[in-house]
Amino acid sequence: MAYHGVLIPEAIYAKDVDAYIRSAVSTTTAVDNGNIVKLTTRSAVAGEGEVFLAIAPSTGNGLTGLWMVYSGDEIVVTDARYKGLDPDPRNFFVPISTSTERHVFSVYKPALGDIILLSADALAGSYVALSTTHISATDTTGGIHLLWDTQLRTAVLCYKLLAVKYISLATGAIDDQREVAYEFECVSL
Amino acid sequence: MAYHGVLIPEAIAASTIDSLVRSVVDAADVDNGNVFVMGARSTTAGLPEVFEISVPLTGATTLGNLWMAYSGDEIVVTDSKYKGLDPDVRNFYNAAGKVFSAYKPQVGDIIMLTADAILDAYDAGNDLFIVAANSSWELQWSTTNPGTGLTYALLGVKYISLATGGIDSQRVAAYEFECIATYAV
Repeated sequence: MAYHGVLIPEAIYAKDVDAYIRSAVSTTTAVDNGNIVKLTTRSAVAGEGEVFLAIAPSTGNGLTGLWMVYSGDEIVVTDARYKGLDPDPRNFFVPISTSTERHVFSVYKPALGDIILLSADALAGSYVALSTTHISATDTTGGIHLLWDTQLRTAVLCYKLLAVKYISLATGAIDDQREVAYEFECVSL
Repeated sequence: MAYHGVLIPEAIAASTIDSLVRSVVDAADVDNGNVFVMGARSTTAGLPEVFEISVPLTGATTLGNLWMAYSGDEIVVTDSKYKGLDPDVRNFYNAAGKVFSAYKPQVGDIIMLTADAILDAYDAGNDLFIVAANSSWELQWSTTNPGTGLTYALLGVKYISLATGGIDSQRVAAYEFECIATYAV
């Protein structure tokens, strides 16, 4: 089974600024924590007056002013959203919303200097030691995933690699409790 | 004895936003109000959350996306860090090799700096800004907005109060600024 991205917001601006957090819904793709989205208009669905529509970023709609998916505190026992009950955070994701099944999730607005930790599943491309020093928003190559990059991109959302670390899993399995993750600092919006 | 720069953060975003504050270290002495480039994490044992810093440079790095030194609450009785015990705040500085605090300026921040925190002398009526300068820890007076790099606009000439108890020596000129540009990279 493919795993989903894991995001740990180590030090982010949005933790202290309510205006940097919104509720969103995606009707075109399922999203993982750590994915990036473009917010468009408010949802027109009844009961979602404060919810914004999220779409994949592209050159056409802009690779700046993006938001990052982070449903950190949700505990939902339906629709594969088992975070907090399933011991493996890599199984958590937000399904596509349909006209009959709505899945509202949280997003936050990245800020320069934010420090985050992302698992490999949250990223497009592959890490190459001493080569891939950044991750950045791209068009169709990455879409909702930040893509491993070999250079700083100042015209799009871009993060600089700080360190290769790991996240801890609570599976209880021997020799299976650490998963590689990457620590980044936001350097361009 | 030369005095050190004094910074009073009157209204800064970092006061309420934790992600704008970090612990840093450098091999040189650093005054409060100095600006610098945030580098990599320190590799020294016991300092995994501390970042190394470097002087701003044009070319190799940029004069934007800088951080500012501010150890506001430290009371340390070694290494010349006597703030809170020495009544003259101008004697305080962040000693080389010692971990201190830094914050990331944001547009709209209002701060006050003494002349010792600024590279050159104030030219009344002409100097309207202080800006990041190449190879300088200190911000530099400017008559114009450079349109690049960390930039503050002068709001007013004020003073800071000293608690020395000396007659006619309890006020030192200081300058109030508003951050008008930070420029990412």
